[in-house]
Amino acid sequence: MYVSVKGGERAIRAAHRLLAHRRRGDRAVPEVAADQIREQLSLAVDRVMNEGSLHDRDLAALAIKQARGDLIEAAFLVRAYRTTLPRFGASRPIDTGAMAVERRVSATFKDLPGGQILGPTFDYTHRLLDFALEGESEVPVAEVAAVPPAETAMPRVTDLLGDEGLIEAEPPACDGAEVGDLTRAPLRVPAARDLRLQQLARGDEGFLLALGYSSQRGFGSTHPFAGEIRIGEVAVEFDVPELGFAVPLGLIAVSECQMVNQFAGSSVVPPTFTRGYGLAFGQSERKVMAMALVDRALRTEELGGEAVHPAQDQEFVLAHADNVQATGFVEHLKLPHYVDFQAELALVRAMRREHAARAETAADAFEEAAE
Amino acid sequence: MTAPIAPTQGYAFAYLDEQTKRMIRRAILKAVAIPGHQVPFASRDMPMPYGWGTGGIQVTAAILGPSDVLKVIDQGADDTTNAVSIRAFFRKTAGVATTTRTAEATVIQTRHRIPETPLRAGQTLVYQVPIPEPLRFLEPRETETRVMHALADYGLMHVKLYEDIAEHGHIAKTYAYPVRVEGRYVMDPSPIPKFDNPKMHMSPALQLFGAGREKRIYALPPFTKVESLDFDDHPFEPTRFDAPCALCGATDGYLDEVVTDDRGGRMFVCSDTDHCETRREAGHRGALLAAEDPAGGATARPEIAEDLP
Amino acid sequence: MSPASAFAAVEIAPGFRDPVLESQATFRAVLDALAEPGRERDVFGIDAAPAPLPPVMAAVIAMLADFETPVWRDDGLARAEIDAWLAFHTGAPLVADPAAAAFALVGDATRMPSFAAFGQGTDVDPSTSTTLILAVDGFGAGRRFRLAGPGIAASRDFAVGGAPADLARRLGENRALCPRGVDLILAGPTSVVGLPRTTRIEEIG
Repeated sequence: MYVSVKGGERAIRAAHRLLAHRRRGDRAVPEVAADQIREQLSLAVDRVMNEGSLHDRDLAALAIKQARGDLIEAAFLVRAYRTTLPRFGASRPIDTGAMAVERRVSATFKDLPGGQILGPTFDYTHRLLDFALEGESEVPVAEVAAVPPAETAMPRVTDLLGDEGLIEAEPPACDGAEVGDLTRAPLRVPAARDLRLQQLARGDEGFLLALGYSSQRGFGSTHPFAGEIRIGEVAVEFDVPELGFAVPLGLIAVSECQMVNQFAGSSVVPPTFTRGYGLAFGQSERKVMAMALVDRALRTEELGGEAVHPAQDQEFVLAHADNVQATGFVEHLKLPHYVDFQAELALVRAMRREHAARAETAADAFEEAAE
Repeated sequence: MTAPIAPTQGYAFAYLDEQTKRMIRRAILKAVAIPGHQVPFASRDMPMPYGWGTGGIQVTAAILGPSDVLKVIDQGADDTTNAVSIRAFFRKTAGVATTTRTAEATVIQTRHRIPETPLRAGQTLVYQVPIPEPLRFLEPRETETRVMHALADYGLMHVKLYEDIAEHGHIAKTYAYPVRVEGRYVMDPSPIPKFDNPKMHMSPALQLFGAGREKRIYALPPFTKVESLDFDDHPFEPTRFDAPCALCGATDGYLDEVVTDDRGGRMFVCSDTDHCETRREAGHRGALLAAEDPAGGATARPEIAEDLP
Repeated sequence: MSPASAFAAVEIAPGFRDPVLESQATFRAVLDALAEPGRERDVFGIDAAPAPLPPVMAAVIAMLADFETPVWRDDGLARAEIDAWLAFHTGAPLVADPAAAAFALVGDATRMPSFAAFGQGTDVDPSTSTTLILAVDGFGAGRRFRLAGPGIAASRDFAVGGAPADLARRLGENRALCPRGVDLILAGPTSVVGLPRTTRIEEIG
């Protein structure tokens, strides 16, 4: 008897129940709480906030729990939630020069005003599994040197270079010019740098990492130096026209990377280093470094080069950086396609019949000729 | 048909906020004014994955009202999982009446099929579109294809189709078969089988196409000329089936091939479940039903569940 | 003093009573009107809108406009109460340049500027053209036209009162630009009629 591949509702109900069951895992193990994720898997939280395009540590932690630790799925949950939120406007630009810095490294100068600060980094750890973490461990409280920004001048490396005119000037901020938002207007290429940076900041860390890496391996080299990476808290302020001044909304942690790249110049313009920029929520060092490499690679044409490699190709990079879009479209291949497949089946069968008929005719002709 | 219910509290009507609906509505109006032209829109992140109908869902959400009767199909069927999931979404967020009967619906959201029952004036068919750009597989760059549409420069498409004929003796395109709208824009009809293409031509219904990931909306107003691309010496031919539906005996519809055993057994049944069930309600019986129960008459249509947890 | 009190000085007339459902109903009427050019579709106007903004025009612009859509209005509609009403209910920027407008409100259709003064869109992006919303006296009487094109099975006759005398010529020139060109929504006392750029039009006296 023909049993139809139907009964969609029952199947979905049962699948949702099983999903919740698997998410919970062994009931003998205590359930993980969203605040534990927020505090102890904080780098995962940072990634979900970036790729989910929403700064909310609690929601990101909840999404990670609900997604069973699948960070792209978690970013997807956050994005869908973000859609439902009203938009009040744009904050004032954050000032990373006034950051309360927790980590700051420069690969271009041995020492510099404000010094180098290692901060909470994996960089010089030996990657040996620490079996002490298997159980509950006593972790001594570390001294956090909360340096008030005003007291320790920590100029940005790019500003130091800029004072000497050695690096291209930042394009002047246009007062009143609206910052683009690709979630409110469809992205069109060629896109301005604000929109490109937005897409990169939302983009998949792995994709940006691979693209940045490819540019280092000769597929569009930009000869980068990590001018500066700084991580810390900055104030977010919002202009309220009725009040006539900016209202502080709070502090957020961000990572910023200023990549200093090989020079540009011409007979008219003296040679200067060029910039690649990365900025992301939280401690997202790999992300902002990769972002800065790709940002610079995407400026190839603007700086007089020819865009031939993937990392330099705006349309390629911007159209494929979004992992929520990518995962949806790749995974939609799971949906039934039997109507289209049926059409292909019919065509292939017809073409095979014609092929067989032609072969037979040819064979007959050969036999006749042989007789 | 299910009666309308109160939408679940805590959601905007049909999920989207009013600003988003306005933006989508503006895009739909321009799409209707320029048939076949892909209008960019600021597609939102939806609670369903990209590629699973986010474009169609946003279009449906922007047009749906409390007096609408919604039908959702995937591969022609009302009870495939994705169709069930989308129908339940609108049931939950808009509380609209739903139906599986094509004739009763005012809005039909579809993936990959046009219903067999001819659509009538006053109905709106909303297509889910994965790749709205008919030139995409010939030219991957949006910057290029935009200009080709602007200049109505479709030579590349004709070359591709003619190469197919040279190589295979056929235009090797069985679904998402490109059409020309009112002699101007070449348009992707979404991955419907080319069997369905003729139904788009001069349809009395309004046809709206939503591509969420690719952020495009396009439209065919009622009574719009839609020609499938072809050549004088190779005219367009819709797919034909040799066998009737094993359940209802229909010979006029698109059929799904069902593998019945591992010895090469096959049977064909209607892809459009409403069409098949309506025929069986009227007493039509295909070979399979007639063999199982020679005395049987009309069969009742199965109920559809509306609400998901 | 609360920030909102700055606005309280001006009395602003109400908009939609139920913005969600009335916007939807208005949209469907306008959608159907543009999808089937020349066919009249009922719209519940916003009667409270400040005169001389016609209630049906008020409903259409309240449904369509927001902070992303510049709105132009002709001299007769450029009044403080109407500007305040539009600002409050739509948030749309009001512009003096018709070419920059997403929507144009024309209170006196007989004296409206040339269509060419409005945004025409580009060959790449023809959807960026201006949509004109024209106040007319009504349908069924007045100048008679025969229409054809997408949305019309063979041809459709319609009559409109209060339209510019040279409507057919203007629309003919507009259609010649296709796919660029403006689209028209005619707002009568209780209904709308759509005339998109693709419609062929002929005056039949």
